[in-house]
Amino acid sequence: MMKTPTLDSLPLLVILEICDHLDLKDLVSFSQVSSSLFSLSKSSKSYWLSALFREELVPLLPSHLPLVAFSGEELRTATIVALKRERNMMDEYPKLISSNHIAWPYSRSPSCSTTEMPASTVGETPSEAIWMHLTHPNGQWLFMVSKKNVIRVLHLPSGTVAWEEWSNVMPVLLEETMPYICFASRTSKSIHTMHALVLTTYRDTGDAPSQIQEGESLQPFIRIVDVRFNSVNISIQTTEITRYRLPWRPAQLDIAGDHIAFVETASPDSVYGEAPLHLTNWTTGRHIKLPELLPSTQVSTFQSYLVSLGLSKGDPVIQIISFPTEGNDSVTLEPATPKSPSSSRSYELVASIQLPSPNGSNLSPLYASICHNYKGATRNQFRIWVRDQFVESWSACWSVYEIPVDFSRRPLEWFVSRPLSSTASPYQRALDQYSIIHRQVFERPDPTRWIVAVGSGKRFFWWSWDEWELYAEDGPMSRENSPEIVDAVDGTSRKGKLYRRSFLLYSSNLSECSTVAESEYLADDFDLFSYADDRSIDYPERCMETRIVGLTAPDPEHDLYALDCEEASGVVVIIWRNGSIDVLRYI
Amino acid sequence: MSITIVTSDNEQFCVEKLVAQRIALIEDMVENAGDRPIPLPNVTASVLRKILEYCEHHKNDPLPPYDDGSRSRTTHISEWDQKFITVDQEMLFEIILAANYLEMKPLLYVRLNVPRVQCLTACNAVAGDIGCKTVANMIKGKSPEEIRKLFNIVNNFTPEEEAQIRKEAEWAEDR
Repeated sequence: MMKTPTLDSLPLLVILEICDHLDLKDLVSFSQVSSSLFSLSKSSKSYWLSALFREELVPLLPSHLPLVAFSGEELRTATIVALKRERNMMDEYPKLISSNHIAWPYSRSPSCSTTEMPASTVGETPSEAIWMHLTHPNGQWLFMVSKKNVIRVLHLPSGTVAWEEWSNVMPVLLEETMPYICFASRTSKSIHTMHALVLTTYRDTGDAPSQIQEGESLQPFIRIVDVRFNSVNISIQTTEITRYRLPWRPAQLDIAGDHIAFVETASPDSVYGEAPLHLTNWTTGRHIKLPELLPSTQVSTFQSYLVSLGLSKGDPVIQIISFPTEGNDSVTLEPATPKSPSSSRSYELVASIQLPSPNGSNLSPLYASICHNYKGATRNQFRIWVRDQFVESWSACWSVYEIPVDFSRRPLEWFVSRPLSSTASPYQRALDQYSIIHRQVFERPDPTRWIVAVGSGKRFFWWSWDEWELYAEDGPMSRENSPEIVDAVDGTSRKGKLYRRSFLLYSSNLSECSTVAESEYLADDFDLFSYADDRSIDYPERCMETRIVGLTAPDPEHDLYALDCEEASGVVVIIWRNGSIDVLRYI
Repeated sequence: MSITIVTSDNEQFCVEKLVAQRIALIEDMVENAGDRPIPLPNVTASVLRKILEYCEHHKNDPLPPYDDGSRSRTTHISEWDQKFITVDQEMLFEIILAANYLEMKPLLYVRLNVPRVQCLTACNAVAGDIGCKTVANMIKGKSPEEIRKLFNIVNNFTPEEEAQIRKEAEWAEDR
């Protein structure tokens, strides 16, 4: 007599087919039903992949690697942690799970490695020390480059410096640009043990510490350093891998896998800082010949493609260049066709999409970011945040474009007309229609600060102060009537008044914002892209718990210098102008 | 022209060849079998009857689109299919198992990518889509305990596994 089948005794392929139809929350529940399903969820990456490809969850995994590079157990752990984070972040009042305050001057960890500091670094002020910064995606480490050429790495949980080095790093070359430190990981698959590659610029003076002389000719160099983090004894080991001279002065760069993408420093007559784009294989030092591209203002690079924001007559154009996939882990189950990116051996421009702009306003490529959660899938979504020009007032608006891109299609099929006017495009458009979702997000009025879009671009943050002037018996509390209290709070207070204030941090999800326009439209005819007349588009906000409350005086030195939100780790790093740092964890 | 199929419980089915060939496994066997009956030792008569009913209804359907998993999945089931798959749990699993045995899964043609794919029709969906979608719909939104109860599954975790799951379960406490 045949045994009656049960759910957990079905063949593996059938179980996995069922999993393909479940979302991530249900997959976690399903894995907790029986021992065999629990084991399957840990041993099989296929158990998770389909849902991870479909859903907009950013797991805490090295972001440059495709999801297929991870084991079932890694995907399971990362999924559960990410679901926990999302649950908190989607709550009406996201709860602060833990936090710590790091005061200036920073103390060194006992295992901190340092180099000899020249006399010029003595007396470094907080504003000099916090000049450039970059938070590691795992929310554990913060890189800082000071104006006096000191590079520091802070271990955020302990609040101590794990690495401090003075060198002839030349951040001065990159004034007013993005931080010149980038991460990539090649050797490790764990976010917490990753070996980072750090890029800094150098000048061609060898290793001898020396100050920049007036009129000195500076030559951009790239130095790539392998950084091994050790969270146990709070130390960092560094090894220089390579360094080489660059034939151009970079204004911005991004690194992923073997590639470094650069935007060259713009010429003085450039309005928006647009300049040629370059790509280098850092492992070989080989500069890669790219197809003809529009000058760019932004670039983001991923394992198997790069995305740049180009400009055509001042209008933003998204350009996507696919890398040769030989040896890459790009996912494709479809047989390779001769012209598909999956079999490409060259660097191809596979999409060039002009961003439609709302009626009566212009986009400002000066303030734009390319957001994308790299999964290594054939179908992807890019979000481009572009600030509208300040036409009427400082109350500003962001245009957000959600662009689906299908790498399984032959490039010609989704190549949208290339807006290069002077050169005939070598491509013929084969697909007349594509879909872009356009949303507009209006910033809250003062004193709220700018929206910060992070990671995948699906969530954005802003902040403000809630202040109350404090009163003594005879009027506002001041140095005259309450000198001890005022001096104890802030001896540098200029106005001498005292306030109690709390830091308010807000978040919103793009999916909750109204859609301005969403339609299939002809690639060349933006008139078909109809816009809503009512621009007072609202969106729900979540006030996140920060527990940053105190007495203070109205002094700009106490204001916020930078806000870094790491989507995957659920960590918010706030750097204050007085050098102190608050680390808020929402996971 | 018709062929004869013999089920595990020795019932014979006379099936139009064009319909039978919609089933990948039978299509393979027809060429070698000649006029002899085709044995299906892992499929009972009651289950084959259901599968043939499905094949007959969907014989003219086009192939489902290629999917690598990143396309958004729908768990929508058409009215006819919904009615077709409204069976008891035992029959549901029997249909899924039979369809798996008969190679009626979209999974196979996506992964093997053989020319035979071109001959297959949406009959594949009987296991890959309708059956699995139905089970998935039954699982959705339920806690592990509810799933165990619904499918009569014994909680057989080791103490170590229990401890790990308790740790993980925190996120789902209000489900």
